[in-house]
Amino acid sequence: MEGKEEPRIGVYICECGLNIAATVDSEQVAKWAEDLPNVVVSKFYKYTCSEPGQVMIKDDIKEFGLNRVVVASCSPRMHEPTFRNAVKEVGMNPACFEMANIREHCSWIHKDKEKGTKKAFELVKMAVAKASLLTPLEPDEADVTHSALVVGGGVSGVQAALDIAGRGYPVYLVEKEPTLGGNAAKLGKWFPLQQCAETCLGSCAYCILVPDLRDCINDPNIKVFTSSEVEEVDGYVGNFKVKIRKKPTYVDPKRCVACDLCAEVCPVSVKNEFNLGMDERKAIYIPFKDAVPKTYTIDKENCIHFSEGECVENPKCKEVCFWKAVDFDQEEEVEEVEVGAIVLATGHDILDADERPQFLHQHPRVISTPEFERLSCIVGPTKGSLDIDGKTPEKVVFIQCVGSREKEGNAYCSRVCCMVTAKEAHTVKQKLPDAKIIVYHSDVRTFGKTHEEFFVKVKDEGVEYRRRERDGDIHVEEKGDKVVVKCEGHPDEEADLVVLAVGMIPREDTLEMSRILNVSRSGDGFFLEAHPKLRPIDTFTDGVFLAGSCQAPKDIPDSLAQASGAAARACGIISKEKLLLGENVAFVDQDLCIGCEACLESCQFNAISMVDKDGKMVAYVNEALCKGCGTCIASCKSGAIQQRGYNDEQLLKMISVLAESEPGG
Amino acid sequence: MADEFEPNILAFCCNWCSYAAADLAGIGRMEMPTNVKVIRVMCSGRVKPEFVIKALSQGIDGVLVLGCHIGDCHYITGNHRTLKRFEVLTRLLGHMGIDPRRLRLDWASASEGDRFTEIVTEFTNTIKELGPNNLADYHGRKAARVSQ
Amino acid sequence: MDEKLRELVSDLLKKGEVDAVLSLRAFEGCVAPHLFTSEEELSDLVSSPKYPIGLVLPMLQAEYPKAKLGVVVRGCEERTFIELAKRGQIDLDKLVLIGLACTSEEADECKCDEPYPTKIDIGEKVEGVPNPEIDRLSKMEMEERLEYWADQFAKCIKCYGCKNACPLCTCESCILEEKEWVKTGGHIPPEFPTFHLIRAYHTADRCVDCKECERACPAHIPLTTLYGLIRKDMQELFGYRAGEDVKKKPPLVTVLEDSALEEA
Repeated sequence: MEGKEEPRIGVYICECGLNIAATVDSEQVAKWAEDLPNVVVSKFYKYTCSEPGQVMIKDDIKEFGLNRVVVASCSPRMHEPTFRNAVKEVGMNPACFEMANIREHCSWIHKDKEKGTKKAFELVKMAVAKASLLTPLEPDEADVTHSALVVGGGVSGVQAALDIAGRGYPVYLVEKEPTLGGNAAKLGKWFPLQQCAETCLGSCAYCILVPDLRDCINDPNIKVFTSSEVEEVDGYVGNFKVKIRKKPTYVDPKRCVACDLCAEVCPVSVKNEFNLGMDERKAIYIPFKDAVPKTYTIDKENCIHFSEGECVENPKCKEVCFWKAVDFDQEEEVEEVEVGAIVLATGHDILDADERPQFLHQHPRVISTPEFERLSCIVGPTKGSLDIDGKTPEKVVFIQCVGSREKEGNAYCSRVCCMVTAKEAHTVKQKLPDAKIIVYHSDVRTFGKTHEEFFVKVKDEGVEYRRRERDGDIHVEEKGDKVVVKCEGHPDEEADLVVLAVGMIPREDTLEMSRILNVSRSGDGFFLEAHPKLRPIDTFTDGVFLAGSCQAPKDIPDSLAQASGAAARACGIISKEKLLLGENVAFVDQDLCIGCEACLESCQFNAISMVDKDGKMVAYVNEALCKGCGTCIASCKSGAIQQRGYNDEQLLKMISVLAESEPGG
Repeated sequence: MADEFEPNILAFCCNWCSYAAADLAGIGRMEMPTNVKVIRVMCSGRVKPEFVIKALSQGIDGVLVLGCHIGDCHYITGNHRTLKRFEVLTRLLGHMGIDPRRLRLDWASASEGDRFTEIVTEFTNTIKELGPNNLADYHGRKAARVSQ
Repeated sequence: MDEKLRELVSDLLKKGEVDAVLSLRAFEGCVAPHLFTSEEELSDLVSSPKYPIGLVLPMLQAEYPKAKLGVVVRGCEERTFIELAKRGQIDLDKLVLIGLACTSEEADECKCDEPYPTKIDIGEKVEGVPNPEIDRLSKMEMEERLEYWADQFAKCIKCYGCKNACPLCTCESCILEEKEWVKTGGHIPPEFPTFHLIRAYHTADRCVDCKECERACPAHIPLTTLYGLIRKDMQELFGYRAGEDVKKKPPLVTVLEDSALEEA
């Protein structure tokens, strides 16, 4: 093997035109390097990275039988890949290539040529020392499972699932609720308002969202799990094992035709979550008429069959169901699936306006923007009427930034509320052309495509925008059967209807999910992207990507764009036959390991686990999870764990040769 | 001034931040003393404190350990461990009577070429003030000198 | 005292609460660790002198993984077991600790600041005795300290007694025996200060101040003064005392605590 061979090192000192030659005498350095141990040939060259420079190295490898090459030139961050490829072309193992940085770290930062030349030689000496201890390495590969998991069946999750399935890969889509659609399904209209949405008084969910949801559930490549949760995720990029827990719905979706007969006979009425508690539903119910899958669900908490043992009603839901879909014996199921990548699209929660008591949300004349969405929807609890207690509101006041951009509380901007407010104000204008509409804002942020134009249009329609100080006092008081909005710097406004533009908040289960998937959260509680600018879709866990409002508040177009991005990133993994593993991964000498777990504790990426080796617990590195930082290695007292390309012996040798150098070198 | 003491200084730089900062200092042609020689590692968390002991013991006059700023580590928390380990080593050097100023742990982001230059210049001056590391002189010390 | 201990051990064995008891046995003029399994042997059981039983226990548990063992422990030995357990070397759940408080003479001889286990079955708790050298060294000037240690470590004959006697030096192979780190062969004393500084760093998060290294050192190097200084630092820097709490992870492998993060 090459590794056991005596190292035969070729050294090439680059002049980089005058970039290096101006302050480093490359010829002299090359001459000195000739005498270093194991150096067979040492040369200097004007532009080593150029084609003739590379040819020179390749020819030397063949002529002198070199098995190590050191190039002293620019930063390895610049040309290491170039030279590695070059030596590989003539059959040398690229891991046996080493670089000394004598440009950025020497010629460019020094003026004294004598000192610069000496230092360049020191750097070359260290690189040669390391090169003599390098060993050829073959990159390891791992198999890839060609399927993906999407967590969350809102618009983002559905988009990601459709995109991945569209490329021909199986997708498992897991949704906690009985229906797909998430928060977006509850919106009366989606902005930007164009074409049909401009004139239609209906609900967008019906003509825009539902067809997508149906595509999703009908796609042969997508397996949809509703009323289900991801319970456990094991494994690593390319090879995740996922446990999905499916809660019983007590209705067989294959039999149910959503005829509603069961709900008609059900004696239990409870608040309807889908309409935010503004009307009622039965204990056996469908979240909304066009829910996907179109099937009923029994709410076990409220069903008399479960609380009393048997329902008093006659006939019972089970009896009226012609299709025999009701099944009280249904049990929880756990299904295990294997996937290569995961898209997290768990969405957001909406701030409960009751948590900001100064806005008097509990008063019937004060509602939140999501409640307005349900009221304005023609299939909502009021069939689209905005009347309160049978009276048509004459003055409607909107208050923005409720639970967003707060001095204490949520510091971030929820990004959608300005447009939501403009859209809802516009809806009021459409429905009640004579109503007086006032909006209290603290800066209007309508930065999206066509958003500013829409905002100007709404203002032109006569909606009055009043600026309030972000931290100034604003609150709502009761006055007779009406309410008064009191805002610092403005006259009090008596209103028939007050709408609070509430912000988005991280979902309640974000923390739990972050643990299950080993994904970090940012300070505001949303999932944290791997880099705020360069990797906005990735997480720190390879193979897990973020889509939509689980990462930060965003509107539907932005969510869908990110969802498609996440799908593309996921497909980038699951489309591969093999995954190439990192080149600097750690490895354990299990004979030396005593299983003290110091490395395991030091690893940020859960790449290390303990395994039984002949009755002894020892560390094991999962190369697919290892990122090659080497932090574990510095924690190991005995040196039982080492790292490819940076082992203790190599680094110690570099230190030793530097220590041997003449002072001032 | 042939006699002026020119210290031999070693710096460990992490690939993602401090090494990139050193590259940036080069690109910006920021002039600095020639005494510091960099060993590249992937993360400052890779730097075994034992390396520093070994370097000082072999006569290297000063050692710099440079990583990403806390919170910016490419490996998220690698530098947390670096910080803790070197806090301990710094104390230990002091207990042994080795001036802890011969070791400096600091952070420089990939955009801080100027900061890298500053650290290198400052540290070189500090080591010049401290004078040569004469630990090697103690290697041959014999037990005969022991008083007790 | 030994009589009371014998009664206690006899009781444990009789009741079947343990399968055997690890303690010391005086036999033919020598004292050595012994695994007592029957009543008859107990007349030989003694509690002193101090012996590094932490070296013996991991081997015994590896040999008899299912056995419930009683162990007679002094304060430092209990702390040793806690550190061993943290590092996966022993199973505390399979042990019944019989706490033995050191006498004031013993505490003084060791200069031990915690000469008793958390639960005392035998003996009386006596006050700890601080090591006066720690204070003296702390007050020295840098150069004086270097001279002091250079003189001390010049005595080292690289016998590895400190390492071999240390119940918490659990490594399969020690880097101090590798030529890349420490010159092998007849280089005596070993390269200053590599050998002792690396050893001190390695003990930082585990030394429980049991003094076994110092007792083993034929050159009488005050190793535990150096280790004691760093032990104090660990407390100051991280609020960490080796041997105190089995749930407290060694701080050098964990992330920064929130308070430290704020400072950073």
